[in-house]
Amino acid sequence: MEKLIIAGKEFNSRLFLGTGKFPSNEVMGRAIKSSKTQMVTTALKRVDVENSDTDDMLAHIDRNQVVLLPNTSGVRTAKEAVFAAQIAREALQTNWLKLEIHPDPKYLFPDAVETLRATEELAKDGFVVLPYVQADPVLCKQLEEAGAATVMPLAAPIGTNRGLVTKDLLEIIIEQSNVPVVIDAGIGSPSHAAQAMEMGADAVLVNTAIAIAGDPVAMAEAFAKAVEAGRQAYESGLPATFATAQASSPLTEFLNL
Amino acid sequence: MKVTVNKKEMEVAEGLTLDALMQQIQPDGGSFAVAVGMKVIRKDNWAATRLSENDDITVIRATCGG
Repeated sequence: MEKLIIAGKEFNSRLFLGTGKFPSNEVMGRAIKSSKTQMVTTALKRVDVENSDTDDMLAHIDRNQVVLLPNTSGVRTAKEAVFAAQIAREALQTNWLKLEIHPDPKYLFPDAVETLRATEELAKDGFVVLPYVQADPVLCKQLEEAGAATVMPLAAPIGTNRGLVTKDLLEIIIEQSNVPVVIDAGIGSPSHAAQAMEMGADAVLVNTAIAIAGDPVAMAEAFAKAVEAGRQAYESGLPATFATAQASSPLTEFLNL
Repeated sequence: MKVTVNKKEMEVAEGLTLDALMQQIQPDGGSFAVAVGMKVIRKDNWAATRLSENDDITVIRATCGG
């Protein structure tokens, strides 16, 4: 399988894993291992200065094995996103960033204008910016020109598990992109992930579908297999489809006695 | 003087340094970062950063999220 390269860094795994909603940090840590992922997202929160937090999620992540990708979830404007990026860089000592600006709490759709503004500013400031965006082919090209390291268009709203609702647009984005395309949000089952990879996506980012599964550790492994199978199928050259039957056995006419 | 730390008001000594404030608060969990207003202050500048009345201080750390 070809390696994925983002901002000069090689990845063997094309499955990125989000860390929200797991039943415990311990299960999350085991799912990270069983997924074989090399890219793991984190969010940021204000420290509760009055009550200590005893279980540090970072203690369950081996940073020698994975790239940490802090996100800007919770911000509503480019200005807030830039601040979140700077504070994340200091806290986690990384310039990698999942840029997400979603002011709408019902569907969590990303704000295209603010995302483009923030990408321009953060890329100039040396961040490796992976923006979460609508499946908008024009916007994805604009982000690429603004210096985004990847584009991460959504398949369906965050956490819905509805699969590739935006499939037709994702295909155009993949066809046009000169940076890796990571399908983010909405992927609800390994078959969705495999389908995205067969279409030529460079990677998928999965969180909810693994974290709330009956057995998140086993589901993480199932997703790893699906992503690998989908990518292998893409690299193998998928066959054309036909409107009429194409015989798989020779038509020998031996019954015509 | 009054400052706010993560939206909570605190009474601290006049001219307290950020370094001293962080020793007072002692947030758990290794990786955190601090900003005064919208300016992120690197750890090696905490000792040189004197707080002023009504400063708005943000202390953040990583948490689970997608």
